[in-house]
Amino acid sequence: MNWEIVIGLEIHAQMSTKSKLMCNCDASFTSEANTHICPICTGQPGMLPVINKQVVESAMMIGLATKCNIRKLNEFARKNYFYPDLPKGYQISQYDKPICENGSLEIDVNGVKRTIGITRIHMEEDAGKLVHAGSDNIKDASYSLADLNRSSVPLCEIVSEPDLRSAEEATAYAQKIRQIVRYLGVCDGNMEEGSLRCDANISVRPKGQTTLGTKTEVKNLNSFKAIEKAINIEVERQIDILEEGGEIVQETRHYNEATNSTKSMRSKEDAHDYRYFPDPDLVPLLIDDAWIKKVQDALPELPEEKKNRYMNSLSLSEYDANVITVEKETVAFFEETISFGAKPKDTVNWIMSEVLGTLNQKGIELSQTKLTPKLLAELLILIDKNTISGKIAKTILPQIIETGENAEKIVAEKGLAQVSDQGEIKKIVEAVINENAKVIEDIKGGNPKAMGFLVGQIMKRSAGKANPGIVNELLNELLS
Amino acid sequence: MTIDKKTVEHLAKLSRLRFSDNELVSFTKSLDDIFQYANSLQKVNTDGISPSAHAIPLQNVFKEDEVITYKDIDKLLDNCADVENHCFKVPRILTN
Amino acid sequence: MNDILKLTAIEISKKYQTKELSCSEVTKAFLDRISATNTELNSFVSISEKTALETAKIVDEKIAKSQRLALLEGVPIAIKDNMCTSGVATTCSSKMLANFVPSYDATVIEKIRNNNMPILGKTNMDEFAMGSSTETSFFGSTKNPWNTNTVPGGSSGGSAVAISALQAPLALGSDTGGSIRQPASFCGIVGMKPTYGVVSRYGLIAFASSLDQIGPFSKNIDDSAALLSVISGYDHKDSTSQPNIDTDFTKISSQKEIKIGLPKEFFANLDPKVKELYQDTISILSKEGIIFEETELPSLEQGISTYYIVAPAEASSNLARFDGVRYGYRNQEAKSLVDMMELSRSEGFGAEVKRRILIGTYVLSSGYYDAYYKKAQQVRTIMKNDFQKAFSKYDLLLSPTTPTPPFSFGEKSNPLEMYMNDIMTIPANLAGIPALSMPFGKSNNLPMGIHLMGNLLEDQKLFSIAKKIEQILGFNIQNPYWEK
Ligand SMILES: [Zn+2]
Repeated sequence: MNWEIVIGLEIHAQMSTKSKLMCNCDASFTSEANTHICPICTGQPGMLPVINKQVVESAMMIGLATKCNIRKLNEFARKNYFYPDLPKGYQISQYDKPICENGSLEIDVNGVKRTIGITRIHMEEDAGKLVHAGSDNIKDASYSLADLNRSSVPLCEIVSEPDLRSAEEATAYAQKIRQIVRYLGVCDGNMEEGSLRCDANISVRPKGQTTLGTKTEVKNLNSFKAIEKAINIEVERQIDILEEGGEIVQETRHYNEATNSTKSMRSKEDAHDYRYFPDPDLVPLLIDDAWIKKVQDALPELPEEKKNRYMNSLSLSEYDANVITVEKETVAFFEETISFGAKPKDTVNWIMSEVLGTLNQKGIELSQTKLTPKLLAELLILIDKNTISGKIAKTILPQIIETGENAEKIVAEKGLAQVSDQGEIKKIVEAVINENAKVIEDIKGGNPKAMGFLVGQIMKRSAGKANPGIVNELLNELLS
Repeated sequence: MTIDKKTVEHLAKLSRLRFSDNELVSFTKSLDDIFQYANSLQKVNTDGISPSAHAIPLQNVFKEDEVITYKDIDKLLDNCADVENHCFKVPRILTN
Repeated sequence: MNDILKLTAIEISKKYQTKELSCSEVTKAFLDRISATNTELNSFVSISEKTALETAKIVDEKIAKSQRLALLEGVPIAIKDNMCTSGVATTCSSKMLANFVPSYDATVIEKIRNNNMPILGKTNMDEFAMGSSTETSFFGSTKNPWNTNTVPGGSSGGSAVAISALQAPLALGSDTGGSIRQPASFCGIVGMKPTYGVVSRYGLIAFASSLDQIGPFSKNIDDSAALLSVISGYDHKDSTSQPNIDTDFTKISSQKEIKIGLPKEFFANLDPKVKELYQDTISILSKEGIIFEETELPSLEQGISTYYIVAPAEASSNLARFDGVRYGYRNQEAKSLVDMMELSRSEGFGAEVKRRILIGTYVLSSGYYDAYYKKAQQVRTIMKNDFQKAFSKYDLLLSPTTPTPPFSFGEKSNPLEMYMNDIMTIPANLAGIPALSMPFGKSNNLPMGIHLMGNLLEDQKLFSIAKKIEQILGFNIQNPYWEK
């Protein structure tokens, strides 16, 4: 049978605020257990929550960036369940009145563009972390330890419509969300540290069927690779069951990256009834048009807008515009470099191949080098002015990255400036012609490779500094 | 709507309480009495009435995004029955 | 008996300024009274002699230097044991919290400490404030000084007794459905529940967050207004705190004409003796020019039903944090997490607390939310509207505080019967309006209170009219225990 895959993603993005959602504890990650805690986030008796205003604005930003409607009258609800990482016995979240609804974003998989619906975005507090002693596996642990540093750290949960039709699309969607929240500066997007977590709702149905199949929720997707692999393996599992005449059980499944398989998380505690109700400790949140406008006006330029601007006013190709806008850091570097007068197209090429290539080899990030946009611009301008060749530029880039010295200084110190003086080059050309009588004959006999050899010899003798244009000009003149 | 023993057992499970048989019977009886009485609410016409989650309407109460470090963290841990490695220790979560 | 004990808080304050009394002397007098009477009355669960006397010393130094004292500065106070006191056990009279020592102060405690009011101790209460008799306390029930076979009311029974047995000149209680006003009525003193949000709930161990409010117990209206002035005010740590309120409740406003509504819905359930006293009182007050009018607030009939859905719903969630993990009682034998949580909660909570958790869990659970919780919140809206209408016509609403005189220990063994005792007091919590109980008569040598409800944020007006009524009635709050 021909199956259609239906996927919806729930992405939890940790908001990169200074303090937590409901108290003033440091929201940043620390490995020292229970050092970012206070009576409020440990659910001590009598303690009350107060909402961090920045989290509301961050949620609004994500909503506006994904074309959502922002709800005017918001409320926070309690989601009640018992677990040792949940200090109050309930999680403060939003239930039937999420702050953002009905948005969308566009993804592009191999040139095919699709619009993916966003059902809702809501704010909630994170739970703490449990360390299971004696084993990585909760089942074999003899006891567990609760670290509440993460308790009440702000999250935005971004829920997509079941509009995704393949693992590639799901990955592209998740990448797009990550790109947006990073551009907005509301989340660092770090998947290894759990700042961005993803659950996938997966089902399959015969092609042409309009009703949805029974879905499973797959958790623990900690990288884009994991999203893709987990979806593929779960889809395979579901299709196998259905083709053998079985039925899918609606359940939560855990993805194990090491074994590349999903496993049921069903526990004997089947009584799930979260008993949501409006949190009486928190008052309604009223968002008026003026507030929305203020946040909207302060939104940074988003990847899509940047891409279009680069194509229209910087004449970049769609490919170049795409690659340069993927990462927020790269695009910032790019914009600053061209602000110093470097040509956009050259800048894209240099950043994407030479700069990132060199950094990759060294295993460091753009932010960790001594290369500044100004230094890169200076280097590119030297090429543009024919002071040095591209080839020379490539040889000195590692030194700039290493030392932060400017290109002009390195070129001067090492005498690398391109020679464009006709007389000087002519001397070298004549000498090479004299020494290579046989080659000259070949050229005259019509062998084009021989010409290349001759140019190579001239460049070599000039230590790569001879202006190639002038070399060619003189050769043609002297040999004709 | 009447409350039976099975309902009370389910509620106990949801609220992490455990009862003896006698307690179950007694809670079932008192809950049933209370809801028999509270069912009088059903005769109130509430069409179009919005629910009040608060006694007094207030809105938009926020804190600023600033870090204030709590000084008595060790005292928080002192109240825990079982602490290990500066963590709240609990018995094994799964038993099967 | 030491005459200091009979003084009102304001009188004590005055005698500090004139140096007739020292704070240490006053504090000691009350501490002595507590140690002499607490074994019998069981109104205090802990006594803070040392810190109380330390605070008194600070005040005495100020007095010695003739420094001006703030309102009620240096007047000793008793605190209901559901308000967190840093370094001092805060138990909610529950086994669950018997050993719980907070590392933080409730905002009201901070205000009390900043005002150098010696804290005498923490008072007994119904477990987690759930009850109307102080019989559900893990530490045993508190006795009513008027008659030790009689309950003091609840849940703030310990604080009410502290005033009426002269163990403290002032006390704080909390009121979720009448827990200040009903024990004040049963003990023949003044108890006031302010407008919701006038006093911060930060550090008050929650029973039902949208109903809980801290308020004063005192011998008279002036002391009550003064204490509310000290403990009230906006608190950024409590999102439901009222901003921009005038916290001077001692300003007595006089108005020419006072119009009071008498809600008909309350008459039907009155004990004959209470009814008689009530009608007599109204005729006395009428002769003094107060205008009374019967009025209808139909939703009041749904008060108990609404309350016993809303309050347990919130409580079931508020009490989920007591799971044995981070603080509080833990069963140490449990081998698994679920066992540990279930056994800790089952052994740590008493029956009434469990009952309310069950009720609350039921009304929030899927399939019942709309029929109960949502319905109750809608009726709550209707009730608020009824009150708004009434207060457009009347300055206050008046009724007895309770439908019956104080009852004996064990008399109300049926929970529903016990709940019925709150019929007059509950609506003020649901609507957030201020209300107080003040003594107005006796039945079989047991006191009874009259209940006044005011409009939202008109706490000051409530005090003003209450003071006028107090002057007219001239009730003598002295009880036989004063002679002990
Ligand atoms: Zn905190």
